[in-house]
This record gives sequence, structure tokens and C-alpha cells, in this order.
Amino acid sequence: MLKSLPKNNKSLKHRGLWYDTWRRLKNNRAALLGLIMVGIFILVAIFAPLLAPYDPNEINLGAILKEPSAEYWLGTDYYGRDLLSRIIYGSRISISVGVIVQLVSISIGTVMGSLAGYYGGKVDMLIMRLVDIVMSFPSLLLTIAIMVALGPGLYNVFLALGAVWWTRTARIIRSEFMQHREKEYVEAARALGNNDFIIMYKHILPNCLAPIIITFTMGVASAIMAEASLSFLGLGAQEPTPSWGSIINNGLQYLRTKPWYSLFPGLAIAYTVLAFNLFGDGLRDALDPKMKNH
Amino acid sequence: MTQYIIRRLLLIIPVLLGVLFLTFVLMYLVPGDPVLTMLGQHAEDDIIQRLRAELNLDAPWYSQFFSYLTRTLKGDLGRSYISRVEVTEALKQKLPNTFKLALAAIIVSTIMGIAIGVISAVFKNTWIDHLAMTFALFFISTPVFWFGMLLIYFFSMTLGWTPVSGMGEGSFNLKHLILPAITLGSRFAAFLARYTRSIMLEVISEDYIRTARSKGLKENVVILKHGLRNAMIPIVTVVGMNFASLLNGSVLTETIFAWPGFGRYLVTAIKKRDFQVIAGCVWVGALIFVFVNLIVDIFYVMLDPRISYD
Repeated sequence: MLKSLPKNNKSLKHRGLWYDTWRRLKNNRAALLGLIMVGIFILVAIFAPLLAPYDPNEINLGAILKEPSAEYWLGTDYYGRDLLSRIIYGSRISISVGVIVQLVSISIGTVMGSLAGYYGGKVDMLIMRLVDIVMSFPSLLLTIAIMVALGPGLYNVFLALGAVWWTRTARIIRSEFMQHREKEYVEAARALGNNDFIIMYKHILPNCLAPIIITFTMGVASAIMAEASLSFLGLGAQEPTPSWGSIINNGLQYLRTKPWYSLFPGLAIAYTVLAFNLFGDGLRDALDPKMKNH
Repeated sequence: MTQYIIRRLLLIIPVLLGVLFLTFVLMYLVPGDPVLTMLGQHAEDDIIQRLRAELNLDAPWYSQFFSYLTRTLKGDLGRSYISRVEVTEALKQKLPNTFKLALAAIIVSTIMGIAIGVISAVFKNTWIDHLAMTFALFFISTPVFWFGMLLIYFFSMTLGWTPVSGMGEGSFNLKHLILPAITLGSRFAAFLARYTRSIMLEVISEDYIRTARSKGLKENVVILKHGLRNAMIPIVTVVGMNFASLLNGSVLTETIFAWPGFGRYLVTAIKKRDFQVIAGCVWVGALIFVFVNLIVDIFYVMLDPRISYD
């Protein structure tokens, strides 16, 4: 019987999660476009010193509020700083906010969610009440309150957003752990004498990677948007850090005479958030087709 | 049903106590002395001491929390450090303005979102669908405050059709309301368009729609009367749940349009480091959020008999 099987039969080749994901993803044009846009954004952030025509913080009192021209492609701000250079360097702020906020919130959420889902009972009750309390606040209001308590600044944005957003991951990881804790492979691991820590993080967690990756990608876009909002309100990155939200805020007072001032950083935010949304949507459909349309 | 409502109400009590405690902790952690904020850096020592005692600031934290708890539950949110106006009184004036803006935003976004979503579903995978969904995704990705600024630049500053800011005279001034309402509702309209499309696609594939078509009914009757009506329960729920979330957007929208509501009151307090006002706004914001979501949940259960109360 075995002899009748052709050699190198491709249909028998092992297909992992990533192979299937990539196969689905590459057939999704919108997701591919998102991936390319994300790639360009990351390249701009990495090569900012090479791409930016000027030092983003260089004050030039002889070139205050210059309109877009051959010399200053996107114009200059009220200190005569080149806006194109500030927007290019701003991508570094955005990518760091997107990634670090997600790392903070997913780490807290994974620990809390796994404890609640694995142990259940009182631990679950306590953690989920804490989740309920945090989720009872409109998210921006709670973030603002935390920022007021900690003081403005980029590092505090990481902490504040991480402290507010871990609840989403915690809920997802909790339900995943609740499903997995009764499965046979977990029982087998327990029978082999593994302790709870090994079972939770070596055996169950790798099976929850798909929702974690989806949450991470979608969350990057939300974190970039939230940082821009906080900086716009004066609570995020402080001068002279070139945050897109604060550039828009500075441009607000010149809206009538210099509308381009706020136009370009806003486009940069829209481009980046759109890129991560397109890619995140596609990745979600590719990694977990059951979640499509949710 | 009554049992369900009572249980939900009882469950809210520990959550609200937690919310109150968290708000207290955050304001307790705030660096700097509130008394110095109120009196200025050059106030005399005995006046500072008297005010500290009056505000119970010398007591241990648990005693401060207990007095904060009893005051807040009585509806007393303290006085602004700067203007000395009672926060509860100020919020009574500001909240109706925010409610008016949120209601206008939800009306605009619901009409636009559902219309675009239905059209997209009917013309699934055609250029109309692709165009509508691209626009929807663009609006979801656009910062609310930036979109508001673009609207002000084009419609107020360039064309002169609408006023730049403020609420205008009288209780209802459409010219003043329209741009802030569109700004606040834009992201939700885009989200609702995507959501309505996916719900409508599910409904359109149901057997009763095929039956309606095979009876020879006109396509618009099939879509609007048989399709949309059945898609309305999840859509109405999403609209209700997002009504409370508009408080987030109102903070940014009101700042841009100088709309005299809750959000602008909060942002002004942040700029002046008026912690009493900030704490009051955060508490009231959470209170509204919790109760609006509770009402939506109850309505949802009442609307759809398939959902169990357990």
C-alpha cells in the first residue's frame, strides 16, 4: 500500500500554521498592500537620519513658518524647523509607541488572562473584577487620568496605555486558557509531573499565539492613534520630540493662514494607521478564518 | 427579566466602588500640593495649614478615601481649585451640551453608516462596494481632531458656510452643530458601515430572503423590509454601545470646536492642573459609561427573546 504512494508527494508535505497563514495572506490584495505600507513606514523610521534633509530639532529663526518650497518640501514650523524632517523622525516615535505599548499591554494581559483562565475560581473572579473596573472607564478618560498622575512624557504614555489596554488581551487569553486547560495534552503534561508554570507558558501559551499576534497588530494602529491624541492634548511627547500629534496641535493656531502645517502630520498618522489596519485585518482573516467579520 | 435587571444592578455596585477607588488613587498620586495650586506659591504658612486641615489633606489615605467616598456618593464632587465653582454644578451645565453633540453625532453616523453598509452589501464585490469600504477604512484610520480641523478649514474658513467654533445662540443651532457632529460621528459611521455590511451579507444569504425573492417581491422590498429589519437588532446594539464611547471622542472634538461641554471642561482642567475637576470628570465619565452600557444590555435582552437572562 505504501509503495503505491508517489515519491515526493507534495500533498503530503507538512503544512504549519505559518505556511497556511502566508498562503491565505498573499491572496488578499488589501492585506498585501497593508504589508507593503507597513514595510515602507518601518524603513522610513530606520533610515530617518539618511532620509531627513535637516536635523528635526534644528532651530532656524530665519526660516519661521515658511511655506512648502524646493528648499523645505513641507514647510517649516514656528521655530523654523523643517517639517518634513520632523515628520520623518516622528515615524520613530510612532513605531516605538505602537510596539512598546503593545508589548506592555500584551505582557500584562497574558499573565493576568492566563492566571484567570488556568486557575479559575477566586483568582479568576478577582482578576476579572479588576478587568471590569478598568473597562468601566471610557479608555481615553482613564488614560488621561493616569497621564495626569504620572506627568506628561513619552515613557508615561507607554505605561498609561499599557495599563489601560491589557484588559482586552486578558479577556482573550483567559477564554483561550479556559478552553485549553481541559484538553488531553494538558492532562498529559500534568501527568508527566510538570508544574503549573511549565504547563501554562510552555504548553498552553504557544497554542494561543494566533490571537496574541492578531491583538498585537491591530493594537499597534490604536496605540499610534492614542499617542497622537494624547500629544495633541499636550499630555504625550513633549517638545522638542517630533510627535505627529503635537505637530498638529502646534499647527492648530495657524490653521487659517498655514493649513499645510497640520495637514502633513495628519496624513502621516492616517497612512500609518491605515497600513496597520489593512495588514491587521488580513492577518486576522489569514491566521484565524473563524474570526472573519468579527 | 426583573431578576436579571436586579442582578446586573447589584453587580455594578462593587465595580463602581472600584472605579471610585481607582480615581482616588490616581488623584492621590498626583505630584505637587493641591493647596499650593489653589493658593499660589507665596501663600502664608498658617493659611496653607488651615486649608490643608479643611480639605482633610493631613489625614491618612484611608481616611481621605472614606471622606471622598461619602462626599462623592452624595453628589458632591468638590470645588475647582482655580475658579472655586462646584464641579457638580459646572457638570450640570456642560453635560447637556455634550449630550446634544453626541446625539447629533449618533444620528448623523447611524444614517450614513447603515446606508453605506447596506449599499455595500447589495453591491458586494463591485467597485461601489470597494470604494465604500476603502473610504470606511480611511475614516477609521483618520484622527478625529485632524479631520475636524480639515472641516473647519474648508467649510468655515474657506467657504464661510459654518461658524469656526462655539455653540451659538439658542438651544439648537444647526450651523454650529453640523461640523462637530460630523467630526465626532465620522469614525463611528465608518465602523458602522463595515459592521452593517457584514451583518447584511449574513442576512441576505438566509433562506427567508430567498423565499421573499422567489415570491417575486421587488428587490428593494426584499432588502429593506426583510433584510435590514432582521439586521437591525445587532446594529442597534452596536449603536447603543458606542453612544457611551462618544465621550472619548467628545474630549477631542470639543477641544477643536471650542464646544462648551464635558470634554472641553476636562481639557481646560488638565491645562490648568485642576485635579478636583479632572477627578470629577473621570468619575462622572465612568458613571455615564457604565449606566448607558447597562441600559443597552437590558434593551438588547428585551428586544431579542432568543437571548437568555442567565
